[in-house]
Amino acid sequence: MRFTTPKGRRVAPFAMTPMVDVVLQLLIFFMFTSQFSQITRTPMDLPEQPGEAQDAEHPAAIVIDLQPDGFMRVSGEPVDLDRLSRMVEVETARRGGDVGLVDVMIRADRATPATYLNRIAGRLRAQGVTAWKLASTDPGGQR
Amino acid sequence: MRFSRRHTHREPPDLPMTSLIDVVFLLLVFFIITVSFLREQQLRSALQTQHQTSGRAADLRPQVVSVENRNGEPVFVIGQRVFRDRAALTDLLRALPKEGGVFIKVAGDVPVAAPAAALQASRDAGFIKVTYVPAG
Repeated sequence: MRFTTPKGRRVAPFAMTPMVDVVLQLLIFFMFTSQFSQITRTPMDLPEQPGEAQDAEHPAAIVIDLQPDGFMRVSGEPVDLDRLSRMVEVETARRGGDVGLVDVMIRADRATPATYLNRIAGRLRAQGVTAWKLASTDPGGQR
Repeated sequence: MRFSRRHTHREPPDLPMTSLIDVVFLLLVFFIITVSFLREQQLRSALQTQHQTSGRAADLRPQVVSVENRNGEPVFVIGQRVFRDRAALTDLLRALPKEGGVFIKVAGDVPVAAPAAALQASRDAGFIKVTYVPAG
């Protein structure tokens, strides 16, 4: 019986470069997918407050970008208050008719007059939305 | 004179350039993104319209912080006291009873940064029930 390896056969060298390459790819992939909802958002000058961390696993159902001139966007598309109301209705229907489960996030520029924010608040409250979140940036939170 | 190389038999090392460039590029992208990416935070609050805030005698009385514009500057008003910065507001709110929560009444002519500061001050002071009340 022969237990030795055949002569002349070389053990394949361990290729470090492609391995590091793949590991980095995976790292970047998981980093991006876990916070993709934030990366795709429009850059805005949000109020500078520490706030609390956003739940990356359960992002808000409706994210409203509010510009200083009162212009609103949801998912990059311009919306007015009536369109926003319809979106809330759709989200309410998706959650079995419970408007209390509709999660709304407002990303307002820090210089926006609060009157625009108040209009949205009034409309949302009239529809039965009982809570919302105001986005901020942590002044000391740059990574 | 002879200028020939001494070790003519030595082979150049086999450097896989494509993979190397790939890794270097990935590292570059990784650091660019992680350095420039600002993490977004959130300030949670309940929503209530102004007419809903009255006539609830059975409830515990909430603290009321009005965010107003005075002489072109946003200020925080509690009763007769007026504050211009978040730290001072937080200090006062810490001393107040928290069972009834706090109402942040926001006038329309202040920038969004002001109610955001009031919400933050309320959280920092230990209020769990924070309600945003649009007032104009």
